[in-house]
Parts: sequence; structure tokens; C-alpha cells
Amino acid sequence: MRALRLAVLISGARHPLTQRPQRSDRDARALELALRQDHQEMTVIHAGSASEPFLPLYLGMGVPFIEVVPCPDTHDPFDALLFRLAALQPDIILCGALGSKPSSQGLLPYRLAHHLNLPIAEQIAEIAASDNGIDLIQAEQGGRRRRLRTSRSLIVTVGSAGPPPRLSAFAKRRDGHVVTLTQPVETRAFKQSIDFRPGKRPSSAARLQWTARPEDRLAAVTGAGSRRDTTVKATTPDEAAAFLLDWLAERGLRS
Amino acid sequence: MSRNHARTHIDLAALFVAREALGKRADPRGMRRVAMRAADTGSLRPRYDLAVMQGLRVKFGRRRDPFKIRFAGKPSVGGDLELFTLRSMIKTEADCAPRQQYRAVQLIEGPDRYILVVTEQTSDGPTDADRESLAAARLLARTGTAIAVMTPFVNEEAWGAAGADRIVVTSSLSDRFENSLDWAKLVAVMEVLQPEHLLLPSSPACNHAALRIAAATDSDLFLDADQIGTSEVARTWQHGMVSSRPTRIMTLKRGCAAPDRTQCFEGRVLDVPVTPVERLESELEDFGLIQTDVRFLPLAEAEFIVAVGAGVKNISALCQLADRLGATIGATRVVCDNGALPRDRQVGASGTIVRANIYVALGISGAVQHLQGIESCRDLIAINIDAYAPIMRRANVALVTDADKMISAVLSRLGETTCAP
Repeated sequence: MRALRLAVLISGARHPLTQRPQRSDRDARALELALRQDHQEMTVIHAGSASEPFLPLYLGMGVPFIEVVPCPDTHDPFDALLFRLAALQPDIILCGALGSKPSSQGLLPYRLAHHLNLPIAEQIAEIAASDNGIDLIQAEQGGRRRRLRTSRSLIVTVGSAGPPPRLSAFAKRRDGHVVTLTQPVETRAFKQSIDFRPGKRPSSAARLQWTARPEDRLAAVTGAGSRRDTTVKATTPDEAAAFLLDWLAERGLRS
Repeated sequence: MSRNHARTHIDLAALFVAREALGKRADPRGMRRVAMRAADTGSLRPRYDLAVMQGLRVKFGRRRDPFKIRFAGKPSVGGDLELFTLRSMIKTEADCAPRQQYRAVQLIEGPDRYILVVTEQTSDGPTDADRESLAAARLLARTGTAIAVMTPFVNEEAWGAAGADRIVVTSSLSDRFENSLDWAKLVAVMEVLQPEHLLLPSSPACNHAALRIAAATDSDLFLDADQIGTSEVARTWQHGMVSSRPTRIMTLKRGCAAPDRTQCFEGRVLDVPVTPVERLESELEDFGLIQTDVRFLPLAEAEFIVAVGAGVKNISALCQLADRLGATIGATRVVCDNGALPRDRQVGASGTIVRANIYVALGISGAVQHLQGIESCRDLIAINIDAYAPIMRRANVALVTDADKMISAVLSRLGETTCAP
């Protein structure tokens, strides 16, 4: 079992209702996954400013220090992170699959992977290092899990299937500290501008215009949803069993 | 019958044919009147009654051939007077046949730029999702833009009708895009064509491919577009919409554009000179799917859930049922508090919020907190001995019966004996 050199990329989020600064759920899961590994060296990196309010929350997870690469808020953190990671050359880079901003699509890990020439493994639930290499368990839709293995360095993306993050403790938060990189890094503004406008989602009636079944279109327009189809007052368990199996068969789930 | 007869019989067969051909109910008296009038003159130069003919024209509402009407009554060579009269108003077989709907095929020669559309990669032909993607591409296409579709299925007519100007033939791109060969092939085609836009369907595999290609080609990207227009593309996010100008690479969700079935395009096969891509060493070794017990999947990810409440006593029978149906087991707070099932099986506000497609609720009364957990479930079937339980109102289908007995009945129908609790 070789001890790994890890790097974890973290960012912040805001509570959707209160707008209070908090840890990004996926980034916290990535950090949890890293903390569970037998690591020789672990660097937690944030591209932004050292006075961000969520950084102490990450320190409270038991991280001794967080490195901050200075980057203005409106600039793309990609250049800053690339600079630091190219210098660090870790075995595994862990990050969340998606950021918390409306404009985030999870492109950053892929760009880093391309520029650092590393493979990328997305939506990883577990990592285990062994002599053969690094074993990964990838989470797919519907609860399926896939086993992967690699023998070289890679970038790992963690989604909601990652391990639940540990709570942030005050004492640990007090013991950790935030270190800012003194070397200036050239950063550029975001290339693509994506706007967010709060408001109503488009009505599903508009989307169901030409494809859906007539009952779906009607339900979308009336807003009834697919509620009550039938009530079957089954007198015997046998009839109910027959009905249930037919109902499941209609939906393609009968064994 | 000769034309010298003063009164001739009406040829009912011809009358019938006239009625059928003209498609409207012909007034037999009107027809007869014409025939008799023509026959009445008794001369070789019959005069036709303009008023009657006008009346007939109005009645049938169709513009008659004036030449035919003028010569109505004039005996044709070897034909009968009234038969000719009737026949002159009859359309020929060819006129009666339904007209072929030919749509003009829109051609583009020497396009300035391309829009590349990746299809769902089935071999059966253009699917509805493909038509939607092509419709979205058509929205983005300016004059001089050709839409090329990447597909293993080669049928120029089908793809032309679906809305594609060109076809780029590939062998079927694999489902997962994990095989480096697939997305490398896509990148190779992109390098040659240099498309203005690349459109893919929105699925985990295609999103992954789109991200890799966007990183490799340093292009702008927009994933999971719900709406697309000529100047804007948008997706839903939390309580609003995220929008952007149409980017180079986009993945589209179902229902973002409606296809125009009236337009038809060429669908010509395009020869793309792509350097043959050798099989690359995959960077990640894939050992395949792990056999997991479907019954104990994480509830947040499960798609088919069978949940029990206080109304079910025989939990082992339920586990047997879930195993047989391939369902994930869920439970209410009461059942977890009793220790019958572990806490991670709890569904509800303080347990897990589930987003399953199918949710079978056995013996669950439907407390508010539990209903909060199953708000987003698509189809809900509830089994409870109490017809007035709160869950019966929420359910799509409500069965009023004893849940335990129903589980045994289902198991016996599936050919298994129920195990003891």
C-alpha cells in the first residue's frame, strides 16, 4: 500500500434559502474521500481570496492548512489552479463534480485533465490504493457501481455518491490556518458569460407539445399532474396481487 | 341505345359513377333533367339548358371544364348522348386519385459551415430525439450552413426527411464513450469539418463526451439545454433559468425543439477524410459493473422502491418480494424505530427524499413527513387496509386490502412460497 500524494480542490457555496456561506457538498465529499486515504501528503487548494467565510468550515474537517491561490472573483480560477497543480504534481487530484454557481457545468476538472495530460474518472464513490495501482468505484445512474483501476496519476471527480462529509468542528477549525500563495498568478476573466435569471420554470405544457401522449398534455395544462388514475377497491389480496403485477408489467418492471 | 330515341333511359350506372367520382351526392333529378333536355331537342345539334347546367355547377360547387360543358350533349363518336353528358362531368380516374404529397427537397451545395449533430446511435433510424436535435440545429443554422448528422444508420431519405443535409457515417459510438476510440473519432471528425456547433443528446455518457471535447478543443459548452432559440439557450437551475448565447458544444434535453415535418432535406452521405484512429490504450481499466444487491441500494439513487410501514409484519417476506421484483427496500420511521430495518432505509423528511419512478407503499398510512419524502416520485401505488389513509389520496392507484396477505399472494403468483417472519 503506497502512500499517496493528494490534492483537493475546494470552493464555497451558499445555502439556497438563507444564502449563508457553507461548504460545497460535493467538494466536502471529495475532501472526506481524501481524508479517508492513507496519504503521505495532502494539499487542499482554493482559488480565490483567503478571507472567504467558508474556508474555516473546511479547516474544521481536520485539515491542517488550506492553500489559497489569489484569483479575483470575476476571473476564471482555471489558470490559478493549473499553475499550482503543475508545480505540485500530486498522485490524485480530487474535486467536486459540479460547482455551486448557476453557471457551473463541471468543465473545470476536464480542462485541468486536458492541460495536465491526466486521465479523469468522474463520479467516484470510493478509492483504494494498492500495490497494483489505484482502485476506484464509480457511481452510475440507478445505483449501479463500476470498478475501475489505474496505475498512473489521475483527476477524480466526486458527486453526490461520495462519502458523507464529516462535521466541521470548532477546535479543529481553530487549529488550522489558511496560507496564501505569494507568487503572483496571471488569471483571465471568464470566457463564456452565463446568466442566471430567477423565475418560473417553463411550463411543461410547452415542452410536451408534440411528443407526449394526450393524457400527459392534458395533465400538464390543467396542472393536475399524473394523480389519481384509478382506485381499485380490491376485495381479496389475490385480486390486488394480480393488479399490482399487471401494473408493474405495464411499466416494464415485472420480473 | 341510339341517339334517335326521343326518350332515352338514364344510364344509372353512369349516374352512379358520376356521383362517386364527383364525391358529392348528385341530385339524380337534376342529372335526369339535363339528359332529358338534351334528348328532347332530338336534333343532331342539341342545345343545352344553361340554367340547368349553371344549377348543376353551383350544386356541385366545382368549376367545370367549360369546354366540356359547352359540348355537353354533343354525342361523341360511338357514345351515347346522355352518357356523354354525364361523363363530361365526371372526372377521370386519374383526377380522382389522391394527389401525391411531394415535398420540395431543399438542397445546399458547397456549404460555408456545418453543424454536427450526434444521434442516439441506434441502428434503426432517426428517433424522435434525433429529430428534435436536428430541429434545434435548424434553428441555429444560417444560410449556407449544412447540418451533418453522425450516425451508423445510412438512409438518405430517412435522414433527409428528419432534417439532415449531410450524413457522416460512423460505426456505432459506444454507450459509455469510455472507449477512447469513440470520442477521439468524434474529435477527428470535428477537426476536419470544423463545425460551428456540435449538438448531442443529454445523457450521462454524452455529457461526459461533451465535457471532454470542450476541454480538448477549448470551446464553450452548455449542458442539459431545456430551451433553445436562435440567440439564446437555457436550462433550469434551482428556482430559475440559466441562459447563455448558443455555445459551440451543446447537449439537449428532450423536448427543447419541435421538429418541422413539412420540410425535407437532402441527407447526402458526406465523405469525411478522417485519419484512421487506432485503438488507444485506455487510461482507466474497466472491470465492469459490480454486483450490488438491488434491495439495499442507496435510496436517493433508486428508481424502483417497495416501502413498508407499520401495516406489514412479515419483513422477511417483503425482502423476498423485493428480491424477486428487483426493487429497493424502503421503510417508514416507525419500522426503522422498531429495528425491523436499518435507519438508512428510512424514507421521509428526516430520512431520505426519494425520486423514484415507481414507489410501492405497503401498509403505509402516509404521515406528512413521509409524503414529503415521496413528493417527487412519479408513479405511486398504495396498499392499505384503510381506504381513508392520507396516502390513498396522494397515490396514483390505491388498493384497499391487507398488505401482508397481498405480499403472500404476489409471491405465490410469482411461484414462490412465503417465508416465515
